[in-house]
Amino acid sequence: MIDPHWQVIDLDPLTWRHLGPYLEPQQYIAAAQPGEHGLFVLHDHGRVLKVVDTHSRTLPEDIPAHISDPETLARELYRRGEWQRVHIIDRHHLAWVAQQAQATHRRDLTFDAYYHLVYTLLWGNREGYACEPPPPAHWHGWTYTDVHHFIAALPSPATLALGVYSDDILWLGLILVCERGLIRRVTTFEGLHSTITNPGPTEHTLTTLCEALAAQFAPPAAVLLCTNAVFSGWLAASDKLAYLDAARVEATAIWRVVPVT
Amino acid sequence: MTVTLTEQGLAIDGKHVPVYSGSVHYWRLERDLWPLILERAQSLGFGMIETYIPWSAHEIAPGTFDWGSLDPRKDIEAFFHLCEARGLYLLVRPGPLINAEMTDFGFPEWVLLDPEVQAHTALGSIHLDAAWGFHPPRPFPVPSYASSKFYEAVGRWFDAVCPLIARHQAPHGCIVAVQSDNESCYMFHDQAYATDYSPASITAYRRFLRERYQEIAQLNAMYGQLYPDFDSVAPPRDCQIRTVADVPLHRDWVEYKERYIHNSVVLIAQMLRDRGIQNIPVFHNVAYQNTTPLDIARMEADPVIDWVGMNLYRSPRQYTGVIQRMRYLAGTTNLPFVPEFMSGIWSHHIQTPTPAEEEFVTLAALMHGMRAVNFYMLAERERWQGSPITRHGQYRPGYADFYRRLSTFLQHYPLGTFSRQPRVIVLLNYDLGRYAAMASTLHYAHVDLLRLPADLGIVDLDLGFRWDVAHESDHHRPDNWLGTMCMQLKQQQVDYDIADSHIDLHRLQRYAVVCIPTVDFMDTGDQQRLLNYVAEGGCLTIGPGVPYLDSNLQPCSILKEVAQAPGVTACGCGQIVWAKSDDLATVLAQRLPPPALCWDAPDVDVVEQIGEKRRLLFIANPSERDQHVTITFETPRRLYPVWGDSSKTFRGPQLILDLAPYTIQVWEAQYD
Repeated sequence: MIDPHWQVIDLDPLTWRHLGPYLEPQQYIAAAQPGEHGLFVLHDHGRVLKVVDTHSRTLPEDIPAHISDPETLARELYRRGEWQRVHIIDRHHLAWVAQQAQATHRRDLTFDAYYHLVYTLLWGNREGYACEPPPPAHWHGWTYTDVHHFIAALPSPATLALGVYSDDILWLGLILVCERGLIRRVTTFEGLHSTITNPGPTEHTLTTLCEALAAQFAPPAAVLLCTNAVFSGWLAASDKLAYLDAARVEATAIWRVVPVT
Repeated sequence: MTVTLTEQGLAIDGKHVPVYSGSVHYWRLERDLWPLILERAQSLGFGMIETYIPWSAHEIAPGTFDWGSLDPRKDIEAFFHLCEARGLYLLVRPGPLINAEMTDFGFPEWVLLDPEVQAHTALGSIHLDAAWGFHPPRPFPVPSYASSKFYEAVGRWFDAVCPLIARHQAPHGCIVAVQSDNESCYMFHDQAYATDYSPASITAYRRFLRERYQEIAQLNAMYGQLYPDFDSVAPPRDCQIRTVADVPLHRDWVEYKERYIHNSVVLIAQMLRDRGIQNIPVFHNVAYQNTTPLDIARMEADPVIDWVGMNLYRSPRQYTGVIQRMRYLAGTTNLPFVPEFMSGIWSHHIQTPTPAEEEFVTLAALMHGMRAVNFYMLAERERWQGSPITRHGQYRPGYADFYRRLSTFLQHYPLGTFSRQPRVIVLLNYDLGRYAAMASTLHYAHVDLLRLPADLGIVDLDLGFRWDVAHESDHHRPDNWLGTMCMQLKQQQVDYDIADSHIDLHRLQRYAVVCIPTVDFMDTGDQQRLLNYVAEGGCLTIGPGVPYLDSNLQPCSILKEVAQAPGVTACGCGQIVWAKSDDLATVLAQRLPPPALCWDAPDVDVVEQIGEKRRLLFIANPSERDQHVTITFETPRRLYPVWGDSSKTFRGPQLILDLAPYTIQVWEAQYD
């Protein structure tokens, strides 16, 4: 998805500040959540090396010296209700993940594909990293494969745009220019040559934005304009299309999607 | 040299020039816009510019260079000429490593793909930059700085670029300093057992052992082994310490990794010197590390390196980190310099700073001793946002306003001409840092992505020490001896500098009180230096223990002979105070004179800086709440607000202020 020489330019600082939390890579790979009360048991092919409770120096006394079934142990410990998540980690598994991921140059892999490989190696063996509850395997309902297929299926070239408004003031205005399944350019509404007047999730703004995208970059394939509240709700919603449909009725979201062939 | 380093900046042909600089990347900007962007920079008050000179942008194929013939943006001599025509000074950073958010960090691909150049991890794989941190848009193999093939390629690059730099050295040209490499430290994967285990590095490691021990018998005696020769010694690939006898092998590896970095930076600096960079200082920038494998005091002491700075990318919430780094630079280096000071941020950073945040962090750094700075970036470019000048040459509202005000302020109160005068220095015990490095694990690629607790990577060792070495070896714990000392200094409103135990005697003698955490072991040279400081009148405060071993855990009683029990021991003209954590409040109160000013809000921070004829009072609210503070002066003051919300002048023994969250006020102080 990510072109090794992508252009990331004309970034308005306010958009980028609001986008920042989504750039933290751990959220796409780690099971542990920030601030979560976790129990971590590190072992060496079953021999326990270290136990860490993130919120207490008092450690459970009944962790076996040798772990034969990490998944069962993780489930049993989690069932006690003392921790929000239990991690049973074989250090050899972490070493194996690192070794496999770095075995070759990986010049053939795009950046996202490389990290997806790391994810697959890490979570492909539940004996190596047993975790209860397990990592969600998706991000707000989207999987890597979903996103990859979406980008790959876009017409080439094409633009994607997201405009999020707070009281009709632009809060986040993001533009991606894609070609043959690769994101070649990332910019913000600041990168547009033309100014969008009367901004907000309206038909007027949508039309003006689509014309500007087509004139400057490439025909728009998908553009979503919405309020800040709708954007947050959309990320959290399980049925994302139904959520947006309801928002459109309330005039808090509007979008245009070119049917993918 | 026609350009030399001073305590206030640079002396260029005898003229003092402050290092007040901002980064502009010529090759990423439209050539036609160079004059406009440089004009904007000057209008914001900058007389000095910094730029990388990226290897991969210019050497477009092996031995083929583009200096503007193909891409006019790469005409670097035109950029030099433009700076010279405008009277701008220039800092240049030709690498070989530059990062700069470039694909492959500015290394040509054919260099990185050469197997003889690649660094290896402890697991035997190649070392990708993605192993630690997040560096889009493509993982690349990290070069081994032990590889002679790498230096051959660097040499060819320097053969091409150095004549261009040499022709433009000050005073006749614009270039006033050159950087050797960039943030050299294993591409952020700086843990002891992460890398570099390439054949070239292992050869260098064995050479290091040979130089250290001379004869294999001596190594065997230290290691308790029977190696037939140095080539049989294998480096540790994880913490495998079971007994005290295992320590020297691991410690030597940790020290080798320090040498690896030091030698790389020095060698690259020498390669620059050998190619005509003779008239101007060579400097290096450290990303953030102030412990092994970085040794800043020793790097700056090397005659080939004139100057070492540390970069700073911090938010207001990280105020403590900002001021501790400035204190460290003030205590350790000749000119406290931030070669990359956050001005905007890279596009994959999770928090783009606002102008108010940039203002707060900048003032916090000035307040605590920064005397030279390069704002990175002054002009935006691809993969960077939040700078005062856009890549189109427009001022960015808010950001540009701050730099205008800052430059005006620094015209009245020139950078480097005011200084703090702390009487106390806190030393980080370098050997404790080495212990923490060797007693750690999980140095594998991508472990940083898993949100594992830091304690999981600490190996619990039982080596029979008298004091809790693991506890004391964490420089960031608030509840060990070092953490308690720093907390007590804060509570007693005592300003202090920071350095490490490799600090030289001359610098130690600037301080009335030296504090350092000490445990069972310590390098003999470091112990002797501290004892010399005491003998000549210093007050050395140590604890929780006193070393009775050297760094190889062999008996050594340099300090132990003098400080035989907790308490105060006179020695020469000075004294050693061996104190437990619980006693530090009393120890400090007894040994420091009453401060010239004090304040009643514990969350507020106040520092006075003294200039030739004037004083500046910095008052910071580094908290997220409003603060009401009364500052009481030993002698009445007349104060004029020079930065911040206040507009009235003040006269008297007390100043009462309300401070908004994350703001700093600056007042000029005069005595009645």
